[in-house]
Amino acid sequence: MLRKKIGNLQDLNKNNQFSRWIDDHDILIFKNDDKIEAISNICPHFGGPIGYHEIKVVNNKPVFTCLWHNLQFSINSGKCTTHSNLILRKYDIEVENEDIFVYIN
Amino acid sequence: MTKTFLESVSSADTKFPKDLIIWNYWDHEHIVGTHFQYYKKVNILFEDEKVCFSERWAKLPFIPFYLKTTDLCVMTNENQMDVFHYAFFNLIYCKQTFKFEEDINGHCKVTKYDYLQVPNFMKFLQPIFKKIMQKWFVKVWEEDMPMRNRRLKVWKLGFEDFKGINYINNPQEIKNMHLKSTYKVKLPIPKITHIKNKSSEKTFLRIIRKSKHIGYGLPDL
Repeated sequence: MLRKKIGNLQDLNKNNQFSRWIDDHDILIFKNDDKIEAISNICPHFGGPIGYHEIKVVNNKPVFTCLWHNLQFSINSGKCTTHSNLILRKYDIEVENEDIFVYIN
Repeated sequence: MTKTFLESVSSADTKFPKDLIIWNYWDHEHIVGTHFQYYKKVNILFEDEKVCFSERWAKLPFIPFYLKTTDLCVMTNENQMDVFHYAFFNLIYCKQTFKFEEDINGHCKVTKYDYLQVPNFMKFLQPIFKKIMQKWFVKVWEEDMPMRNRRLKVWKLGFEDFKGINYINNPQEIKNMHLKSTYKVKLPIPKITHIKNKSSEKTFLRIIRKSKHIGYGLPDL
């Protein structure tokens, strides 16, 4: 697995989430309670950005909502909650000092 | 009562292939997502490879409430789309013609012609109509621009509708940079509501009312 720097902790200060293209992967970094996690920012429906809106709570569960067609994805599992069979890949990350690294292909 | 038409023309040059522009126009559901500040509902009554008959609830400039319109969208030929809008008990009738011209580099120019039917005595509204329609065109065009850019980008990376990108879904896969070279659209665009409901119902509602916009994200490192 290739390990790449995607940003640093300061990038999360403003919105608790940010997305960035790195090596042709669009990756969304976000705070899930106190944990920092990474998920694909590419909606498998038509390719829209799921991190355009801030995290919403729907039926007591936090979700990302794709800007283009409102598909919603659990921030915990990456599973689409509005359309079965769609799922977002979660990426492993590491925080070293202030920097955030992500493991891609 | 004698009637006449107010007219307006707007156009834009793009770097996008014609089929991608048509995809954007025929993805009727995205107006509730991408243009969520102006549309709250779309109901697609019938659709095939040339025609889409729908109802939309839109907030137009200077009108303080949502206006329900009935819309007939026709792909008249491969380079032209005609849209007929009816609203307010059919008292409002507007026709739009979109012409698509693709150059040899695969870049498409879009020209939109608007015709609003009004009683003759309202002809004095022509300059205002022109101004509103041209402003509306620019606003919607700019709102759609990141969508077209992104769609082209993910397509070049091998994106497939309802699947995503292979090398992202499967970390073991190697990125294939030798992909199809011509963007092709097949109408009608598959509808998520249709598949979800497993019926002919294709109502698409806005679910985002208030949002903090984080945006499309940052470019490559």
